[in-house]
Amino acid sequence: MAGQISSHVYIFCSDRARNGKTLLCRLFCGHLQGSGPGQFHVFDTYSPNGGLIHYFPDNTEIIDFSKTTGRIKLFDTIMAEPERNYVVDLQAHHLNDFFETYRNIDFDLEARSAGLGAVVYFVQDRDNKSLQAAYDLQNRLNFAEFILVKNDALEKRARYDQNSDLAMLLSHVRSIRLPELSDDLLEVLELEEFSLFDFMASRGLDLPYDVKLELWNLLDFFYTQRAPDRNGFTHYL
Amino acid sequence: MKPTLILVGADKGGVGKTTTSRALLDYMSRKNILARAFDTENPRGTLARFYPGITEIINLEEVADQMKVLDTLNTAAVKVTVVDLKAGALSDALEVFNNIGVLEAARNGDFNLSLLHVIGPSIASLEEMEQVTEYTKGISYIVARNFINETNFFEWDEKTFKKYFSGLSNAHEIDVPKLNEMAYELIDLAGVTFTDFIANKTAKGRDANFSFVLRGYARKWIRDLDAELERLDLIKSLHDLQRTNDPEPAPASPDQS
Repeated sequence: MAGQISSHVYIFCSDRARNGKTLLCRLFCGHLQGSGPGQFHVFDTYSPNGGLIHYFPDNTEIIDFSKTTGRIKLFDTIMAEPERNYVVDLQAHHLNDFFETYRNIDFDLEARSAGLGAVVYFVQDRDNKSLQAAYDLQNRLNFAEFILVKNDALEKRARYDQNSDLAMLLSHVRSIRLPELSDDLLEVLELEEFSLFDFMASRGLDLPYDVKLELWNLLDFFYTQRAPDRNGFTHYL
Repeated sequence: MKPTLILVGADKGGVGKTTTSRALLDYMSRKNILARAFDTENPRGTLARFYPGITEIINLEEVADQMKVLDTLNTAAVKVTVVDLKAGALSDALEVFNNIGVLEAARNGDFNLSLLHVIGPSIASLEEMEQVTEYTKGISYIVARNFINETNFFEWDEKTFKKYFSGLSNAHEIDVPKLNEMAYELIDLAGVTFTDFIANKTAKGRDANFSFVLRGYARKWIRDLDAELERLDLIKSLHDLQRTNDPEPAPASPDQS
């Protein structure tokens, strides 16, 4: 019997690299920082050097998902403390292995029984292959929320047929947009000392007015996209 | 109901005979099919370590131990007997069984006899199948292709396998899927049954602290293996046997109706 959902594991993934996945994940973690330093844990699968660990060193551990020990570390840690929130920044080449393991160990069901919901953010890339990957992944999930992320910077150069059956099928899936960001803002977001949480609390870097405005607009954009999931939770994204 | 004798063996060592026997006993335990087991790995008894309650270590070369298995098939309360033959003992055991008329009795229908021949991914294993052909006529012969252990593993050459397999008119074939090595080792070290491991229990029934991921791998492996086993007539007949042994539900009394 399913327990009441009280915490979540947020999985940021895609079938391709360099399409905004980690950026989105960072913004999301920046938001979670507001809930307290020990309230979330990040698994950074960019082994060995890591990506997110440079921004959230106190909350992040690097996982080598190509090894069984890495898989044990990730899923066992989650199941040992299901009352916490978790974020997984999944490297594109681990996508299939991750969800294969996820399915083989019945993670969906076991996590749900422990009161832990799963939310999968899939960043859609520019071609049909990526649409197919999104569609296949969505069909593999049982209880997890699947949210398709459309990056405006990629969408304007999209090479998939928007009238294809696949695009039509995916149009029924819940999706959010990541607006195209200016180079100036991207440069700021790249800074290790930048913290979204500090920005929202009006602390830290003294940013140029245009950048601040764009960032507030981005946060506002995210806010207006929010919608409750099947369990009645409204997530930051 | 006729008793069933299941021999699990191979002449080549390290192909997963005992793991297959354990998986079979595990399956029967989960399906409430009562079984007893004999472990011929004398004196160590790997199978007995996992199933101490139902397993006896014997030396199949001793007449007294042959009697212990064969002369009790009909009289034992448990009608399913699994014999885990130690490495290299398959041909010898079959020859002995042939000489003393065990195979003939099985062919005559005195009891059901199945040979579960575990083979590894080598030509030597495939040649074993040819060697046992003379004994397997008229009995249930199952070739279990073992993918559990990847040590010295090479991809199955299906063409070569089919060539050998097609020469066996009465053989059935199952695949024993690969189990994650770490999960396999942990189960082995813990000395627990697959079912207990998945349920996170020690051999003594206490709560254990096994990895969630490794238990998940084991659960998936058991599911896949169950699907393979359930394709076999042998398993279907064991279910029939179990149904026959189950007490009939008492008819409802007039008061209850």
